[in-house]
Amino acid sequence: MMSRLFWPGIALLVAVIAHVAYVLYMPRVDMRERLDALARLSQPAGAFHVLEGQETALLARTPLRHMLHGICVIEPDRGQVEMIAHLPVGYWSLTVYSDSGDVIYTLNDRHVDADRLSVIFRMRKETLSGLPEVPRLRAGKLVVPLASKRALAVLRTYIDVPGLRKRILRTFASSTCRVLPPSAVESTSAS
Amino acid sequence: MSGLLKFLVAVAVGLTAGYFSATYMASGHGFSGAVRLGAWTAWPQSGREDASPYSRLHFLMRGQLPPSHFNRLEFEATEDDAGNPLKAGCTYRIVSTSLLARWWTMTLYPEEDVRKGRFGGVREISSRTAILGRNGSATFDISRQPRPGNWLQAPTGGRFILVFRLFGSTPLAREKLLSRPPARIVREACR
Repeated sequence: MMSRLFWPGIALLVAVIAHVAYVLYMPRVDMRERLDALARLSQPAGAFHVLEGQETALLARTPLRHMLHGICVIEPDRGQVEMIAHLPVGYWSLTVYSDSGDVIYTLNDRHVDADRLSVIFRMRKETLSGLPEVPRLRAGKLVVPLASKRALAVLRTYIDVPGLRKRILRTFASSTCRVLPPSAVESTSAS
Repeated sequence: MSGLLKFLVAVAVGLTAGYFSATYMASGHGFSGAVRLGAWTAWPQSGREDASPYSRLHFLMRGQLPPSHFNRLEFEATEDDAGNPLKAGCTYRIVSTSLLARWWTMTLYPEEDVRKGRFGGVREISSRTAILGRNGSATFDISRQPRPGNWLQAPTGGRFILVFRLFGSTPLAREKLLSRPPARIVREACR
């Protein structure tokens, strides 16, 4: 009886391991490849880039026809990254993804009543309480701590009025992402 | 059969079963975290760090970053209310419930275009351009020939996918939206 069940048991064990490995590992592999491809577009390294045409497929194979996407690939271990988003009137959202595809942080036009948003991305620090550090406003800048080595910030806006497209695109594309020089980092931390 | 051959067969069977069971769950079956509402499937916890791993796999397998549950709720349909696949040669009437969202989009993707990463055949209506009922509901027609009202042109052939995205719903509205199908999909005629 035991010998009859041995090989089916081995097959079942392999099936469970393959199932779990695929579910947990595949999203990381997929996200890594996606981040590599987006990083190649985001030149000079980490700059804000508006996705056009087929480039949008790197974010979604079923994108919204009138949604405009701008991205920054963030590597916080290379230094703090500042994103200055120039926001159009109407709907927009900023979503930050970890390197495993989880949404780390998100906000939209209902939360920020401004036409410009400054966000600092940096590595998460240990806190005295032991609780994870949370995003907070510091000197008028939103500071988002990241636990992953790479992250993807996606700024989205929706333009379904063709006459406004050019103007909104111009505003949107003037957003920037850059690694802060050490002097700027000190002043951000001190304030 | 030699021991080595039995081992190889057991591993091959296990790997195949593991892979197919993972993709089956990631399509929204079993305890995957997906919610079936009539013809529509939604992943209400998508993008959250504590979301089911199948939710992340589902979106990344389909070439899409998981939507943030906070910004939008996404419903997807590949069949009508009677369980028939959505086909280009048929005409459909879609009647939504009152849509408790700040704004929404209804997008039609030809299945072949999604597979090949092309966007030429994508058709979309948003709440800003749609004709709405008095309670905020909407009725859409999908057909090859133009129709008055909210019309989405069916592709020239093959099957298609419908994605209904609702933006800016409050937690209470989300709860209500996830308690019933967001729209009925009724097939009217087929060529």
